[in-house]
Amino acid sequence: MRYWLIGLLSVIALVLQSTVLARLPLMGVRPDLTLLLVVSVAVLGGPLEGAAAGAIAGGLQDLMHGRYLGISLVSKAATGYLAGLLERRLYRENPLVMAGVAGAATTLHHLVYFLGLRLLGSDVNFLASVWYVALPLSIVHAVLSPLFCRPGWYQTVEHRLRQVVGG
Amino acid sequence: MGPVVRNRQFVFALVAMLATISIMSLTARERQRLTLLEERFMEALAPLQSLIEQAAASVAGSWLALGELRTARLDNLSLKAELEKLSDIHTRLREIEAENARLRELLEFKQASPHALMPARVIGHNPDSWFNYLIIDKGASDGVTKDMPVITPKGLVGRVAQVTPGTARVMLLTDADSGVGGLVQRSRDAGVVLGGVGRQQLLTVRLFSRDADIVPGDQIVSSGLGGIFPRGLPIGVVVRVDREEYGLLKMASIRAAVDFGRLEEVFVLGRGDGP
Repeated sequence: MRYWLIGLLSVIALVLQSTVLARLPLMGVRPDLTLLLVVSVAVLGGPLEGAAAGAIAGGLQDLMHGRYLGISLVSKAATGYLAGLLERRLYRENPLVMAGVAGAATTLHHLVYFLGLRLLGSDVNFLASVWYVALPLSIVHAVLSPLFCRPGWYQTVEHRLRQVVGG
Repeated sequence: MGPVVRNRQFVFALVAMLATISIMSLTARERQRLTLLEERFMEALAPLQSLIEQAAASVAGSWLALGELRTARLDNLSLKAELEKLSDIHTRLREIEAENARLRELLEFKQASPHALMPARVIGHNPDSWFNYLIIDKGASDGVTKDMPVITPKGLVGRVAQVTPGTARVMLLTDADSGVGGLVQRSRDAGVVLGGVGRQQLLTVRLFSRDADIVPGDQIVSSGLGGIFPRGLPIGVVVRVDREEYGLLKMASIRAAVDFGRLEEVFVLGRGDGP
């Protein structure tokens, strides 16, 4: 895995999430492209690569948040690790399987994030967070997963980027 | 993989985890300042966010205009090219007209307001669905400090939660961690207006008295209690009186006066202003 590529794609995803996607919410939520990126890397590369990608993407997201520094890092790294455990157990070419993984990983990420918030003293309501965030976001991510969770996609992105920068 | 390597990885993961948990605990409370790393990252992204945000606003306008012209295009395909050209001009004109109207409204509001107002442009939003905040293009070097109220002519937006030299992060009223003192304008019953996770426009007011006089349609304004927000700023309109929690408190749902999803310009209120 190319860590610089994960970092670069995470920054692009975060900028899009905080501008364009904030104006076009789907089912009332804005898609978390960084989470889809992490799930994709994890399913294609395994638990350690998934955890590393989660730590990079989550860490950058935390820097953008300015609150609860580290919570996205931990929740995305944990999600990446657990999603990576499925690496050899899945038929990755099937988009329905990948949609299921993306939806389940989103729910898992939500639970870890929620636990983190509660441990840090936030008064977030669990049922409201499931109804307004986890459920719609899991559906949205499942639908969007064919765009990201495809074998070989980030090698293609890397190849294109190298062509652009002449590397 | 040998046991030594495995042990080394385990120890590394453990140390990293402990360090992260320590940082999370240290940063969980409201901070006066961001870390240097956070400041630099936000400052570096701000120009890019500003550029893409403006482009997104423009594209959203074009999309709406094209939708309105769909019927006309179907009726007369031969005029398609002409219509698209007109649509483009129309969109641009509408965009300029809308911006003009917005700026005129802001100017009139600024001139009529008893407060010292600093105009700011919205350059970004939070990247996830957990929290609700905005990023504006004014920061510490413009005199913005933590806890300054942020408003529009329509009402209260939120307060400055963090500042960098060139930007500020504004916690919206809808944020899960937001709490603002509010009053029922008609009956003067007091309470606290709360946001919630995943909220777009709806707020909750928790009134201090279970006998509070509140009905749908009542205006809720800021109470001035707490010392951050001036008294009397519009917050929203009651849409539903929900329930009494354990018979001790009265709750109501409010539709916010400000459309948080369409904010492009806001005002930061100078410290110490207010009636």
